[in-house]
Order: sequence, then C-alpha cells, then structure tokens
Amino acid sequence: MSKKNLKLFLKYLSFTAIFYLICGFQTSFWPEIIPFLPAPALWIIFIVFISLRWPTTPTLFYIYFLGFIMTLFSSIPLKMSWLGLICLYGISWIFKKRFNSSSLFTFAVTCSVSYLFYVVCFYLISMWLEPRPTSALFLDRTLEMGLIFLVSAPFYVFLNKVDTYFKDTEIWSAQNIQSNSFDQGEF
Amino acid sequence: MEQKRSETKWFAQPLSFAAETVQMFFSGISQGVRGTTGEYLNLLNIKADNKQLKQELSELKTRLQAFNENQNELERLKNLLDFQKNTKMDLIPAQVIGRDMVPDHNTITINKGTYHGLKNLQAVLTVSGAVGYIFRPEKFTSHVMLMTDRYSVVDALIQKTRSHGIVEGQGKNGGVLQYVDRTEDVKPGDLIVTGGLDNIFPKGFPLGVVTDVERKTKSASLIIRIKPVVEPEKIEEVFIVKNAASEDFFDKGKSEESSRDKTQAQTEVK
Repeated sequence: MSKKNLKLFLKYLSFTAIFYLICGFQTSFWPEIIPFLPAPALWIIFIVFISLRWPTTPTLFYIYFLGFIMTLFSSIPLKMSWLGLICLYGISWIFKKRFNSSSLFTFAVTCSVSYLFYVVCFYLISMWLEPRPTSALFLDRTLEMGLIFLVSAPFYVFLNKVDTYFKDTEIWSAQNIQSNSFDQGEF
Repeated sequence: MEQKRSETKWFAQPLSFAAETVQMFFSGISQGVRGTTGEYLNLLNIKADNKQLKQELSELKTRLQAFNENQNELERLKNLLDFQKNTKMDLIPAQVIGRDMVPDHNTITINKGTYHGLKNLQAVLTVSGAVGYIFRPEKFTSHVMLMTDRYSVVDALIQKTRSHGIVEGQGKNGGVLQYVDRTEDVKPGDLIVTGGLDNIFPKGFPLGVVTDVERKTKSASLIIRIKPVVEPEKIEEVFIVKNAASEDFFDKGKSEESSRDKTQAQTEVK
C-alpha cells in the first residue's frame, strides 16, 4: 500500500472511530449526565462537515456506511437512515455549491438549517413509508437545533484539525473536478 | 531615715499635670490599640474557626447526602431482590447503559447479551411493570424496544374487564390500546396489564394506566390512550425474563386487590 493510500485509509478509519465516539457519547454519556435535555445531534454536524469538505462520490458511499453504523445505536431501520442521510447530504451539497463563506457562524447556521431540513424530510418520509409515522416532537427538535448551533463551532475546529492532519492535496484535487473553497479546506 | 515628701512643688504642678495628661492619653490609646488588636486577633481566630466549621459542615452534609443515596440505593436493590425471590420466573438482572440515538425511537441498551443467555423477543420488566422486549441481542449487550416505541406491539388486557387489546407505542406520549370493543366499560385510571398471548410477557403484569378513552362514531372499537407505569427516562435496572414458568400475575393482582377491599370493608364496618 502506498503512503498516500495508507493516509487515506487512516483518515477513513479515524473518522469512523470519531463517529463511533460521537454515537456512544450521545447514547450512553449525555442521557446519564444531562437527562432533562435531548442530546445534541453531533452526528448531523459530522455528516455536514464531511459533505462540505470531502469529494462527492466517496463521501456518498461513506455516508451509506455511517448510516449503517447509526442503526447499531438505534432501532431506526436502514432504509429510513439512508433516505434521511441522503436528504441531509443533498441540503449540504446545495450549501456547498451556493455559498462561499469561511466563518464558523456560517457553518453553525448550515448545521442548524441542515438539521431542520433533515427533520422535515424524515417526517415526510416516515408518513409515506411507515405504518406508524413519527411525531413532530417540536420541543425536542427545537432544543436539539439550538444545541447543534452552539456545539457546531467547537466541533468544527476539532474535525478540521483531524481532517487537515490527514489531508493529501494530490488525492483530493485529483478526485475533485470542480474546485471550490469548501473542497480546499476553507470554509 | 525619714522619707522624702512626695508632694509636688507648686511650680512643678502644671508640668506634672501635663505629664499626667500625656500619660493618660497614651494609656488610653494603648488600651484602645490593645482592645482593637485583641478584637482583631479574636476576629481572625473566629474567621479561622468559622472556615473550619464550614468545611466540617460541608463534609458532613456530603456524607449525609451519600448516606441518603446509599439508603435509597439499598431500598431499591432490596426491592429488586425481593421481586426476584418472590417469583417463579427465571430472571436475569441488567443495567441500562444507553438510550436510542434518535428522538423518533424509544429503545434502551442493556449490559447483558447472548453470552448471558439472552435471546430475541424476551420480555424486559422492572419491579413496577413491563418495560419492553429484546429486539436485537448482541454478544454482551442487547437492545430493548420499549413499549412506547412506534414499532412496539404488546398484547394487553384491561384488568377490570379482562378484555383483550393490542398496545401500540406512540412515542413519548405513551401508547394506545386498540381493538377493544366499544361496549366495554373503560375509564381513565383503569390498569392495563399484559395479556400473555404474545408469548413474550407473563400474564397480568402491569403495563400502563388509562388516561383517555375515545369512542369514535364510525368505529367498532375504542381508542384508549395509556401512560406506561414505568417512566422510560427513569429506568436504571431491569429484569429479563429467561423463563416465565407460567407465572400469572393477573390472579395474584386480583387476589391482592380483593384482600385489600376486604380489609377496607372491615375497617369501615368497625
């Protein structure tokens, strides 16, 4: 295995480990310590980050893989997980193509809006596909959206450090046909 | 030898008076200083004593709190042990180690799995009532679907009338008891217990309490909203039913209720 491929492999492995930690934190740590607040959906911030920063094709397949990991921490069916994540990726992709911004505030807003879009899509998909659809859970989702907004900035800094550490410009620029500020690591 | 006279001469008296005044003045100051210093030193000591006492009090309060917690924990574990001892069922205790990742589902993760003898569709109970059932056992952990989950379906019956129905989870709102004939006499406050027909739960175990009864004009059955007896957010320890051993809690519950009614009637007569 060449050094570049090894770096790429380690990158995917690290991000997968981070995703596992996020899911564990959300399911086992937060409910024990702060049971009165819903846990912030860190996995949303994670998905938005990689959707904005990484190239399209491998990211899509990686998101499918993350959707499968999500089902290990929840009773959400795989089809619902994948459909929801595709919608999330879609809105992130729109942000990626339409907005050029390098501020943490914009990232926080992107995460919150993406979460709102995901929730709406998930609700509609649930009404369409499930015999007993999900409920609106307005208060929980509003609180989650607020928490996502607050937590996204520091979380972005952490993910950016990890991403930059494993970044190989040759690979990423070869896979990216159109370069924009998001792909080059500038947000 | 004769002592000299101690009287001040007339010319020295003003000087002596001045000396007296000065002495009295300085004596007053020194007394004031001594007093203030003494008070200040006392204050310092009081401050130190106060700090020490506050620390001791804080330590004692923490210890008292720890004792109270231990007492509560002891009570809780005693209840769990008593429950396990007083039943024919083969139970495996487990602790809750996680919750569902998304708010659309209500599941918990427990720290026992197939390694400990757990299987799919085994009932999960607490001392107070039924919680749910295992839907995905792993090697060392298992995922339990709570009865409030949208995908959960539990056979149930109304304790008072013994009419069967199906409890479907409605998320955090609780559940809905469906397919109960509209002629049944159901009121808010009635207890819903497990029916035992699904071969998951033992019969007669508390499931929920009726909160609302809806009679739709064009429907042959009632829509009965129920609230679970066990609050899902507060579950810490559970029991998994390895073998129900044909335990029937329905008749136990009925006999307990009738003996309570008898005692009450006797007291009223007296």
